[in-house]
Amino acid sequence: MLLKYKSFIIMLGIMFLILPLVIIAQASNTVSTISFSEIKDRTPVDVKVSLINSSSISRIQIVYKSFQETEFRVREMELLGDIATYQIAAEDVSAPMLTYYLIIEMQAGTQETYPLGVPDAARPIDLTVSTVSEKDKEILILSPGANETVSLNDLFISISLVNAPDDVDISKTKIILNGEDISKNVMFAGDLLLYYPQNFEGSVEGGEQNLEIEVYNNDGELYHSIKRKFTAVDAITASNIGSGFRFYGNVAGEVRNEAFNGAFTLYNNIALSLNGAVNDWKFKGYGYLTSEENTSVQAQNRYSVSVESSWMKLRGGDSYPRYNNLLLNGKRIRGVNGIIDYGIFHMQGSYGEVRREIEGKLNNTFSKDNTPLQSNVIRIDSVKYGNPFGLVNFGVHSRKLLAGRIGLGGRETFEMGVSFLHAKDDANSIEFGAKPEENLVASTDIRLALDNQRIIFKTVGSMSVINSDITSGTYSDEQIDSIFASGSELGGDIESFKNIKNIISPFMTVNQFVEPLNVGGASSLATETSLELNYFNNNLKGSYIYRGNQFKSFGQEYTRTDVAGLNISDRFRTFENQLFFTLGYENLNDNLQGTKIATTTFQTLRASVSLFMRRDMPNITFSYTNNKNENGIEPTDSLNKFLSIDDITNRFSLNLGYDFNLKVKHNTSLGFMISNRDDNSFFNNDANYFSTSFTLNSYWTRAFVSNFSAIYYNSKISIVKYKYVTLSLGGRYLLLNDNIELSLNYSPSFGDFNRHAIDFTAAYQMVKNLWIRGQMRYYAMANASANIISGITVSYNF
Amino acid sequence: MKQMKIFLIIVLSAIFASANIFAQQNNETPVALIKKIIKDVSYKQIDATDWEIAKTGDPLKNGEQVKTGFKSLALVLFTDGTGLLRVRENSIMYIYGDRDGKKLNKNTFIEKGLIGFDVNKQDIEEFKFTTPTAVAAIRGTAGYLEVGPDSSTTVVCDHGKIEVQSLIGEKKKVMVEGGFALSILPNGKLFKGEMSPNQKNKFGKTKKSKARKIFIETEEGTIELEFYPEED
Repeated sequence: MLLKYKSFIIMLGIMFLILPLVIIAQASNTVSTISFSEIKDRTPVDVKVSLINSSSISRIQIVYKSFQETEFRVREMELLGDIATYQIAAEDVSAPMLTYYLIIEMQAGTQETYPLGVPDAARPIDLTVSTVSEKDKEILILSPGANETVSLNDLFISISLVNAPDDVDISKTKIILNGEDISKNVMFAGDLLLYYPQNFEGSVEGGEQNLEIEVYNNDGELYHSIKRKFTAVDAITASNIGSGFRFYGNVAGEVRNEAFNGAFTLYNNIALSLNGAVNDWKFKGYGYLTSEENTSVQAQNRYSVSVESSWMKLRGGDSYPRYNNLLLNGKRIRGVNGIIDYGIFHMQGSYGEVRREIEGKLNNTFSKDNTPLQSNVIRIDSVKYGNPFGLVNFGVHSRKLLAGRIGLGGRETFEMGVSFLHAKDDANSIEFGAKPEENLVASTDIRLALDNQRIIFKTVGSMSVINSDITSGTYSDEQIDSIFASGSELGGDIESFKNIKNIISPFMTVNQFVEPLNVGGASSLATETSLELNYFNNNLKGSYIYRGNQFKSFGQEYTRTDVAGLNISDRFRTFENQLFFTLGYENLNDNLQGTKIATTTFQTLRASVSLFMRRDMPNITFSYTNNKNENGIEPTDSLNKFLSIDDITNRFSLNLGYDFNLKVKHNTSLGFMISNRDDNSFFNNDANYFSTSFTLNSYWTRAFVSNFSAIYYNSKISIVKYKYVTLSLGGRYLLLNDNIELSLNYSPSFGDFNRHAIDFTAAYQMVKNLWIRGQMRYYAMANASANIISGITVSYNF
Repeated sequence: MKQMKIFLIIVLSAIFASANIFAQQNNETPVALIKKIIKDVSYKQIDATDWEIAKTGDPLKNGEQVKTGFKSLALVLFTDGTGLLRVRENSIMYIYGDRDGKKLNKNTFIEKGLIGFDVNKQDIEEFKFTTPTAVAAIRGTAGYLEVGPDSSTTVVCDHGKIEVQSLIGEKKKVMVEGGFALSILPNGKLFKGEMSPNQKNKFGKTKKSKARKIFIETEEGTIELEFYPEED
């Protein structure tokens, strides 16, 4: 049976290789590579994006969602030089799939996505989310603990296989420490394996240690392997841990030259991080200075200092405070962010600048008589510039944000909190800018957990007020009378407007640009309520959302508004957590305030089956999604046909992952995705996508690892066809006792996306902890000049 | 000559028997192991009469004992990965483990002293503590048990739930939830209440397991003095 299966896998591989058009990496003008840490259910995922021509990029956002959800979360990534990073929170990572794409905003004001064309001309990328492997629970490294720092005198390695199945041959277990097989020195005590390095002098030296355990079945085939890192230190260093002041850090400097479309740009940057601790108090400092910093773009330098203990955290400088998803979550603030968690009492406060001022540019001036009617022609100081109107490129006002939350209770049982956000542009910060705005949001949140977290009820409600032009300040009652009385369409709301003004004017500017005018209409209300039940191997979750069309929080600028509806999903696991079924349905609609000519319903049905076998078989995930959007307007409607929405999208995907031993260890993945959109609206914008990808990583020796990948992409949107194949071949090689690391990757793309890319990196450890690293990236696009990024980085850990 | 043969047979039989016993012992999976030691920790094998000085990594088999001295500490890990015990100063405990297939039922007898525990959620296995006056059954809990000189028992539950049964008096069963504590007096009387500030403080201290060392350079070499920070 096993042999049959292997043959099938090999056949699949061969079939794949002989496909006439094979593919690879995603097309992009700005993204070189994107990497993820291990993607496991309910585990944080670190995302790292390497960029091409990073100086042209002003901001990067990652947009992601789990399979059970239909709404994407938009989060700003930390952009430092040519690297952007973000950590996706554990609660947002859910098996079987994580879907993502990137939004890249350019300094020139344009924007693109990765992959190019999302959502209209390309699909976001699916990543398989594995569940915590049952095999991981079967192989227990009792000692050392993960990332533990342990004295060499006290060091011992202990592996427990008491939970391993009967077909595991414990005597064949290999224990590899820092690349060296030490199995012959291991003592077996039943299902417990013990290794005492003190019995083998010189077998372990101080420093970071890499431990790998390989467990084999009775047939001698690799059953599972796990890794762990820990640090061994001498007795004196170990005794200092936990007492007195201790610190460590890193300093790195980079010189980088980017030759892009014939233009050369030189960048210099330096980064310093310091970590210190005394008793239970931890201190961190971080600074990043770059030659890219200039006043015509948002801040490129980064700095922060923080102190934290078991009950408080305080961070100054750049921070990314997290409140609820409707208020503020992950936006960069330059100021201060503090959190206190003392028993059942919780408090958080954040204040700082979310964007700095960038002055606009006056291009031309006009007299009153010849002023053109354009949105970027504004009134200017006629005494200063000779004319009363000017054609400008708009700048950006500086914006400060204040947020806070007070909460009572604990996550184990019941917690509730109230929070607020106030953000305001500084109208005087620049001379030529668009209208300065102000935003006030109030929010409450409740979390109730019962029966040992098997029942979780959560609700968040927020109400916002926004002023889209605060230039004139708060109006008096007399001004309101005169302005509103003269406008017949607003005249009837004078008293309610005055009432609103009296209530909120102590907190924000109130004039005729305040929205909503009618609070009772719930147009600025946003709520999310969910109930989660975890019983009988089911994770059943039902939720309801409501977002009025005027809800706006400057802390979460990409929240989808004018939508309401229900979402229900269930994930069922069986066969000892080896088989997972997911089923979900969502029904949303817009036009909550009746501001549109028709109401659109958005229905989504999702189903998936995942197989995570403990045996020597691939992990398989098959998923199906059906989206149906419809607003009832006929495409033949002569008046409203351009507003008609009527489309159905069917999407299937199959992902396989397989680790196997063929002479050496390999891991592979193979994915297929097919999507078909049938658009019956006036536009008839049918779309078909097909993509497949294959990756193979081979661990030839501890020092040599190779990788191969191929992607094929084929789409047809309306009448536009787009097709390409990308291959990638590379490897990493360590030599001279790991003091030199070489890596090379060549990635050609053919078809409508035609590019050849070479990445080469050489790193050398000159003395302990002092590394010099050279990097060269070469990109040649069809009908464009070759682009080369070359740089040298020196870093030192202390 | 005949006597010599008999002697050899006896010796070889003894060697074989010892080897067989040794082999059997090696086939027996320890119930726990000593993860960390501070200062004066010793253990006693089953059927042994003397205590031996313990060192980190020493396995503990069914029925073996651990003893800590003044200002000393031992961290004990169960080999099925289900929990960690912190044996505080001047304590004596016995480790018992009954393997039933893949299931390991654990029972720790605390003769005296204070044991902090951090136990993962148990599916089907039993995890019990026994004292001279009570039995505590645990499922996914952190807290501590203290046995006084008069055999009174205090059970403190920081989070999770503990089912406690008194072994004397009315032998009542009481559930102790997170944030509560139960005292069982030598006469069998039970007192349940919220964790007192003193108990919270004591629980916090049970989680600390860092020792301090002083190194004194002498002509003969380095002298290492290890001590446990003052807690009271």
